[in-house]
Amino acid sequence: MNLKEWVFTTDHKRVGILYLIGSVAAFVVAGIMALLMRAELSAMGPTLTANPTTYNVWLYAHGAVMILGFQIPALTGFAANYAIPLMIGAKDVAFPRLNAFSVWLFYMGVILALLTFVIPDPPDVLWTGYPPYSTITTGNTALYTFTVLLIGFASIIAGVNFITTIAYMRAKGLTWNKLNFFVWSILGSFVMQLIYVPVLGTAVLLVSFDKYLGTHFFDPTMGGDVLTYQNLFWFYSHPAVYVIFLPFMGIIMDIFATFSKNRIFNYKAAVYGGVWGIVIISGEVWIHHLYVTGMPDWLRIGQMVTTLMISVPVGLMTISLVGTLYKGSITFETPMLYALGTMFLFLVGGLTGIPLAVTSLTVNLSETYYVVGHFHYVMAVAGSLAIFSGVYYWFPKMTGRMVNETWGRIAFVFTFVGANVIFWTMMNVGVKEGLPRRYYDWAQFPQVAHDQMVMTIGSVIIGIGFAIMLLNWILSAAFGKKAGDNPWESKSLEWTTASPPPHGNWPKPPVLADDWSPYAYAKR
Amino acid sequence: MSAHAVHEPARSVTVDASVIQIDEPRYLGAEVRRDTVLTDSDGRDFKLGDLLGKPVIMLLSYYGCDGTCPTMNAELARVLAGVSRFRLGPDYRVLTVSFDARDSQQTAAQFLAKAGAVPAAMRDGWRHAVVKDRNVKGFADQVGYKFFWSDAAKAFMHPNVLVFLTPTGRVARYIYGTRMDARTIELALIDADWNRITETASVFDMLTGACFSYNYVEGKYVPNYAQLIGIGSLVSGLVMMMLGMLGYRFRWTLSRRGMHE
Amino acid sequence: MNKHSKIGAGLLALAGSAQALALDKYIPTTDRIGDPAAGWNHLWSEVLVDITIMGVLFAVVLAYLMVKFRRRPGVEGGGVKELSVGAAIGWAIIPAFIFLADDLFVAANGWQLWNLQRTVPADRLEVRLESGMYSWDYTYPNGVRTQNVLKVPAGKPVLLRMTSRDTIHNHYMPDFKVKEDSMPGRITYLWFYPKEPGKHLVTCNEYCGVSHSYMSGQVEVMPPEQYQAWYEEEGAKLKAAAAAPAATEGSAPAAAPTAGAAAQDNKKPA
Repeated sequence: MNLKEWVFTTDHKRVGILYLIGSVAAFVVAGIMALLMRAELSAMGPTLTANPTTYNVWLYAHGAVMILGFQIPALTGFAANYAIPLMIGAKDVAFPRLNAFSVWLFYMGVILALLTFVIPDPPDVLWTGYPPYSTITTGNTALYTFTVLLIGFASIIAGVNFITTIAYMRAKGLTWNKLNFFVWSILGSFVMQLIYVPVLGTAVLLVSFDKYLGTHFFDPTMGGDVLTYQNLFWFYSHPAVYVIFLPFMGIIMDIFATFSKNRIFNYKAAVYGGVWGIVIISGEVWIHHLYVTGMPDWLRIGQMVTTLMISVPVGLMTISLVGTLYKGSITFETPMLYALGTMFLFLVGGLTGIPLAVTSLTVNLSETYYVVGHFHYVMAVAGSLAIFSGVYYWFPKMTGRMVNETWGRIAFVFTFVGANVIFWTMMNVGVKEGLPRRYYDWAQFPQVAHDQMVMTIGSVIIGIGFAIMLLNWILSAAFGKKAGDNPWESKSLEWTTASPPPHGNWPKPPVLADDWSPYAYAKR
Repeated sequence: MSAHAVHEPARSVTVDASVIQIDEPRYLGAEVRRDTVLTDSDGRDFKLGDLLGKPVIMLLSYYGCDGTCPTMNAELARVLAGVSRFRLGPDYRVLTVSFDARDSQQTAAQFLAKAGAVPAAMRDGWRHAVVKDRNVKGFADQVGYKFFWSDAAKAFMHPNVLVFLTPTGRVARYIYGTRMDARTIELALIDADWNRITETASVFDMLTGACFSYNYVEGKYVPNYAQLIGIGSLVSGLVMMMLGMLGYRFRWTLSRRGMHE
Repeated sequence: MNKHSKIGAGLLALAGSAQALALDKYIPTTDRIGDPAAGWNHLWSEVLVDITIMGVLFAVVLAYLMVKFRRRPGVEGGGVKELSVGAAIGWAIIPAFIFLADDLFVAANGWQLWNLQRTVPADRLEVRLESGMYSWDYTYPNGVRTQNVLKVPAGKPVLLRMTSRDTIHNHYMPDFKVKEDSMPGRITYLWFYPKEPGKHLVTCNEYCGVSHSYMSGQVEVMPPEQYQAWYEEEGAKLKAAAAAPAATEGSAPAAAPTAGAAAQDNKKPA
């Protein structure tokens, strides 16, 4: 393998794999931050470090890198790049060079994020960067700003690219209603990215202006308003949750169909009600991040209703998932195990979000461990498991080799058990004791000592699970047994070409029959 | 600075402005007593609470004053005539109260006659009053308003400020200076009644309110630049999405055959 | 208030009449003060039942399908036909309405509790709070100041009018199930109802800086007489201190207590 060929590649598959390598590296770094934090919190008082700022930097790195460096790039970078052109029968994306440029920007963003551990004044502003703190801290807010800007810019470029690709480069005969659900979910994601990312870019840029150039955008004494930042930030960052959520639903939806040998139950409801329902509602719910900030009462109530209404599109997609299993012929290979695991974790995570949508309940729950537990169920474990199920699923296509099943299952058990041990305990502590998040020390809550220890043990278990998984991938990529073109016996288009696919994907562009569908498992 | 000596410009008397400066962080949000009885220039007694239920602009003056107090009243009358968004009376009220214990209903009436700048049409929603029990210090203290008699100047030293009260009688905003403008008054009234959403028109008021924020240092409303830029970037996101697709579509139709070989 | 209840009731009619009972529980009456903390506990348990039922239902169905339709030799499976148009619409509309009904039921209850949480009883103690890195500074109506210890009488609602001198903080009292940010340039409020004498934790709930996790305080609920004695004693001390360095202007205590306001105050202060 020629390194130069990889760095300067414009092939969507290689770009996708570069995204995967970069985001998994980010995942490992951010995961280590999580383990460090759990170790710090395992006992009361200073344990690992005596300096709260060190802890706050871990906290910043964990949040920012997980979201900006791992989840969004893994889904909209890796999964989209690798699978979309294959799924729609295109030889590449619409703008291959732009695609290469976006992966470079992403790598620059990741490198910038990793500089956190090198510079003497690392940022300690969390991934949210709220002023006034972010404008008065001695930490390096500019690093935060530029990390967000670079990765955001990469995302905008990818958005332009993929929307045009999906809109205009489908194979002949591949009509809109025959697209894989995953393609729809990516389309929805990128529409949201394109609309909302500029707002985030603005917000973080203005914070740095305030800090370094002496402007007063968020300075309350000079006509600024600290809440304006929070509004702008969450106006992007709540949709960002759906930018992650939609593709992860897309991946497990396709995996459910493949491993049940079944069509997606009520496909149109899931697409038009689910995906586009989410895209439409996504911009009207950000106030639920500001329920306890003194926003006007009517706004807090109005967005309680819109937030609760998110359950309708999500519910439709969930029904489609469950219905896909009905009368299926289900097998439980590792990708399906991860997908089913995602489903159960998402059930817990999604439903525990309902109390958080209710303004009057959030008045107590906000910013406690309950919130942390909830969004880790949804994003950290359901989201990551969905990403990893996608990696397992496309692994034979990417490498031409199978992943070791036994170790795949062992890794899954560790991950699934560890996740529940940590995050269930976390929600429990949050509700029962009201333990606030982002605490370096929990000296005021001696009663949570036992739970903190349990969570730390859980983090070790989940860490082992992920470590086994990564090792398994590396070893299987090198020594795994050869996979055929279509090891999962899927009907989807990406499995009709060779594994790994050649440059240009198919020798001849595929032409699809009238009765073709990616889910056409019905026997004729 | 926000505080002026009354009579003539402050050259004759050196006053440390901080002595009469309002401690804003302390008094913003403070609630006035509703049961304080006031007597207006027509001799009618009323409770401060009766006036509330709508935003109230409160102006503390004294009627023996021949310096800035008549000027403030006249300026306010002039500016309120230019406030078209809200109606004096139905939408908000104005209250001038004396902080001079020697003032009475008669001096209030004389002041009104002399000042003359308050048009009769405004009198319904604008009262000139004195505190009935003459506890003027207690009254002014509620909103952090400080004043003292200067023997040198033979006048009261006091800040020139409009106090905006919410419909529930809490201090929402202080607007300083003898020069006012209608837009600032409108924005401060919106601020004072921020939680209102029951009337359709108020949605526009809230949008206006959201676009401006108060600059404490300069004592005026300025556009909320961050918010405007944020909205601008949202629009740019939408436009970018549409342009990207249109642009590609255009290119694609020109070289349709080139794409799939 | 009434308008809200009406709309709430209107929403509720959609969700079914059986739930109308739940709505009435939180309406505060003039003679009896509702306790937001109790209301919270009630609504939480209600919502918890709701989500548990949904979760268990989905999980059981999922598990059943996994087992029932696993691939077995000799058993035909997979390749189910697409839904008919009618069935597809039904499978979209009916679940959507069920979810929506549940949402509106939860929302109506949440709104009712919210009104209680934001409607401050007229008879109350109003304390001003200024937060800063890293302390809670309280000022009582008579000018008495305390730091990190909020002493209040039992049986009287307490309103905190809050602002901050530096970063954003959040005055969280886990025992009273309430919190609200305090920030520079804005005034926020919260109220709580201490019923019994006792001590309760106050802790900062919004990341505010290096020592965020050490920014704590205490609400000390005292028997009313004991509180009154303390309050007057501190007030007298303050007066004496003010009188001592000659009678200078402007050092008199701030506004007198605001108790006994004529009408119920149900709006936020700023």
